Amino acid sequence: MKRDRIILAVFFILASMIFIRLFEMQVIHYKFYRGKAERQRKRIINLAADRGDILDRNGRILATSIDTTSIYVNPREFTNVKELSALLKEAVGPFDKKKLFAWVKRKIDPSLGRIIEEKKLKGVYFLNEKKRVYPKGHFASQLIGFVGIDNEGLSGIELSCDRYLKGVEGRIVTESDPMGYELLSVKDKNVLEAAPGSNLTLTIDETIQYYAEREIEKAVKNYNAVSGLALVMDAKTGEILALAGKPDFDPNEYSKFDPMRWKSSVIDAYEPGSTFKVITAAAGLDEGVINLETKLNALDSLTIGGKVIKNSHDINWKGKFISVSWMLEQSINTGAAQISIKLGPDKFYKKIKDFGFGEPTLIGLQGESRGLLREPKDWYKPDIAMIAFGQSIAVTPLQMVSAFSGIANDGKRVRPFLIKKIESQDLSTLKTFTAEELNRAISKKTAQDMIKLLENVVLLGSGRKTKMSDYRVGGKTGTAQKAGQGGYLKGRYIASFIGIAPLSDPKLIAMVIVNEPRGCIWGETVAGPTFKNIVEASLRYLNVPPDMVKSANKP
Amino acid sequence: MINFRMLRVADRSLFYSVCVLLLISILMIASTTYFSELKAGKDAFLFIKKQLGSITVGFILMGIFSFIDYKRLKDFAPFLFVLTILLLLAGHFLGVSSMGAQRWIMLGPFSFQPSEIAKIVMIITLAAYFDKIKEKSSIIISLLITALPFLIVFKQPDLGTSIIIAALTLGMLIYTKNSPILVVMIFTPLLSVLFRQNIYLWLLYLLVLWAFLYFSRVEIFDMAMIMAINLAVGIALSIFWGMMKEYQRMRILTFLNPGLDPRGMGYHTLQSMIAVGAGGIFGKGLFHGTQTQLQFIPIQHSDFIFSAIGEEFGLIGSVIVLSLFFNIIWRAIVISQEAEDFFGSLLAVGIAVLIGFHAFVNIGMTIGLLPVVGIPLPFVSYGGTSLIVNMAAIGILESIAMRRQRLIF
Repeated sequence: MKRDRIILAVFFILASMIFIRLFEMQVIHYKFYRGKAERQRKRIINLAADRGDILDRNGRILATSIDTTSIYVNPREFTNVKELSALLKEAVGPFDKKKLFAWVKRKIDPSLGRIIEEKKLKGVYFLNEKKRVYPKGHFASQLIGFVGIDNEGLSGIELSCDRYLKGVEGRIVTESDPMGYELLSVKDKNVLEAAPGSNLTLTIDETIQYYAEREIEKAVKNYNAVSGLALVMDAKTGEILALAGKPDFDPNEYSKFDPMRWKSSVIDAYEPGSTFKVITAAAGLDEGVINLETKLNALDSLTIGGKVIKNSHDINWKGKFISVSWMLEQSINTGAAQISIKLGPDKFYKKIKDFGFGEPTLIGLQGESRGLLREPKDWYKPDIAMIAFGQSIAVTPLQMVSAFSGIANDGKRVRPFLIKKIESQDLSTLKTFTAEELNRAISKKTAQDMIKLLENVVLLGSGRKTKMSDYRVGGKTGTAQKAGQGGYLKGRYIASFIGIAPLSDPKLIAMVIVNEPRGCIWGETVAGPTFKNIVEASLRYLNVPPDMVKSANKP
Repeated sequence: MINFRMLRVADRSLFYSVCVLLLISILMIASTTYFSELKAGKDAFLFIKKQLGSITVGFILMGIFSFIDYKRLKDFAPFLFVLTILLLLAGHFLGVSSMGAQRWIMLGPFSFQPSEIAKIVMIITLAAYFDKIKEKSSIIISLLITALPFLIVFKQPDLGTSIIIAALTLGMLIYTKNSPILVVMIFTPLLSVLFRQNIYLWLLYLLVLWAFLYFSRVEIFDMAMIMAINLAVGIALSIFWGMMKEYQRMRILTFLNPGLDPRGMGYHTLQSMIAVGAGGIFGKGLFHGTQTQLQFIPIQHSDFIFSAIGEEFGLIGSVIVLSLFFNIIWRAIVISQEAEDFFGSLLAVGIAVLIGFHAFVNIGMTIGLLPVVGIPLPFVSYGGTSLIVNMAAIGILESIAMRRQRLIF
């Protein structure tokens, strides 16, 4: 009968489908499934590597790891549950008798570990594990950052240099036999010893960092500001000697602090305001559209592309014309705008690029901004005038100090850097970092002119509060209205000062930024004295010979 | 009643195939439970002992059913049917469910699953009905007979068993009607459901279907009927599906199949496939399958026992098991052909479909070919009711075999 054959045929087809599938799984893809099965019965026990220390340039410890003892048992040998529980003052176990390895307690005080070790309990083993500590607490915390529970870098240098600091994690791979009992694999590749991480020496100088932290904290407190930043760089080499931000946090218990405090704002972009007039002046001088004798028009306002450019304060004009120096001394927006208009968008843009703006400095901190510098074709008509006094452009504090290194070093910029040395703990490898000279931003002549102009700002203009008794100083104030969504925010300012000292042979470039000061908003008053206190103390500490010729010492 | 000369015409190949499967069952239950129970500090032989007990009961029932004349079942059919419905209802309201869907009825120290009994009773009932009115038998009435147990089992919810009951009914219906048109009428709407996911594919399918019917010289009335059913199914499906929101669709899909893992292949299937695949051609040997012994596959001794066969005996062992099942179906069909009467043929076909479909769906789900629906592998999976009912079914087959036409002098 035909219907019987149909039923048989249907079941034959179904059986064939199963056979094809089995053939595919057990013959063609056998290796794939066998590999999956093997991975399932392996167990990996990680052995944490010692994390490298973070040191300041003089070898003083900023972050280190301390010894702790961790206790584990081999459940097949271990029997004395009662005694171990009594010693640890807590219940231990029960442990899986099939396993070779089980943690009892991790990261206990080594002295307690030694007491237990002396009892010589069968099947109880000890492992030296490290715990990250920051002996100086808040000190340089935004820069150093912190690590997580498994000693993995989460912020700051701990994060950006994690691959050097962490070392290579060791591991033991155990395999289960079909009865479920673990075997310690004897193959070499299954036992990997941990390699300790490298020690990191920063360019930071603990003493200068201390000055910077003390002074910026004072400024933030005095002016009831939201935050403050102080940055000190070696003018010749680009080594960052201090990087202080307040308010900060204690990396030993970072989770207790607002995450806003964890990160340094040194890599964040902001509108620089008047400090940028220095770049405008240098660009004009270098391109030859102005010189130190050039007369600019004394204007209360200037209209460009339908926008009225005004000065930030009433100027007490002393005639119909002003000098370039006076423009900087009095920080006159309309004066700076005249220079950039003379330059034209293309030349101005090229010079701004030469000073390093629009590109990250590659300092090696995670999340560094490149700032905001649009190409001239994307500029609105008034942009050329506004950029001249630091609006319609965003820069990072690191870009600013790198740009100023061009003025301090006869025109050549240096790259700011933070890491001086990476040294493996067994001293077998050493990597040192030295100054990296970047492009020439301006000619030597321009640089010398700019030094003169910056000194005038301090001697005669808005920078008077930074005048030092022993050192010649040059710099520029900035008072920028904070930009927010849809325009500038009323009553919220960024007060800053950036300068170079000593001018005869520049050693330091420092920048102080106070975010939203209250009471007084002017860079001159808010940031100037902070700059002066940090730089003066640092120069003395560094034994930099005074270059101020005092009248009393004149022969 | 008992005529020992009949034993000479009993189907030995069928009997030995079942015996080999039972031997494999004991080995695999030992492999999947012995060490895990030992490790858990329980009686390592517990499952083996219980299965041996069920096998003993199974052999007794097999003997009883093979010596009873199967024709007497015809008279018992209405009584068995009503009893089963009552048992199903009792299981539904009073029974306990363990490990998922199936309901158990506890009777003192014994417990059993009414839904397992329902399968064989459905075969007997439908065979009795079809035999009584032969080709005149109404499709509607046969579907109504099935509907009640089907719905109770479906509500439990036990998707696996309800699918088996549906498959039994369709298989026996097609066999009875011996009409290709009926097959077309039943299966083309299912294809419509499948193709409806893509409107163009579905329209193309309708066109091909029409051309096929036209050139097959199918009667105009049947043709119109088939096309109308297909169109109606496709349109109704799109209307209902379109009216539903995404979460409702998901809810329906998970209701239809509680084992369905909406995020992809379930853990069960994956672990089962790893075990089978890692078995390779020759297998890892009894008690040496690491996936099996390390208990990566939960409740492996019942529904997922094939994964242990695949891992420990490899492709060769799997093909042997597959061949044994195919042989059982073959013998059942041969018995059906040679049966004394139409009732016997129908019973044999029903049992063939029962065992064959059970084996296919169970193995299919352990190797990721079909979604996971909890039904056991006949004769091999741990579980008393299923085993005893299946062995009783073999007894019925032997009863038919021993009374086949050749025996009539």
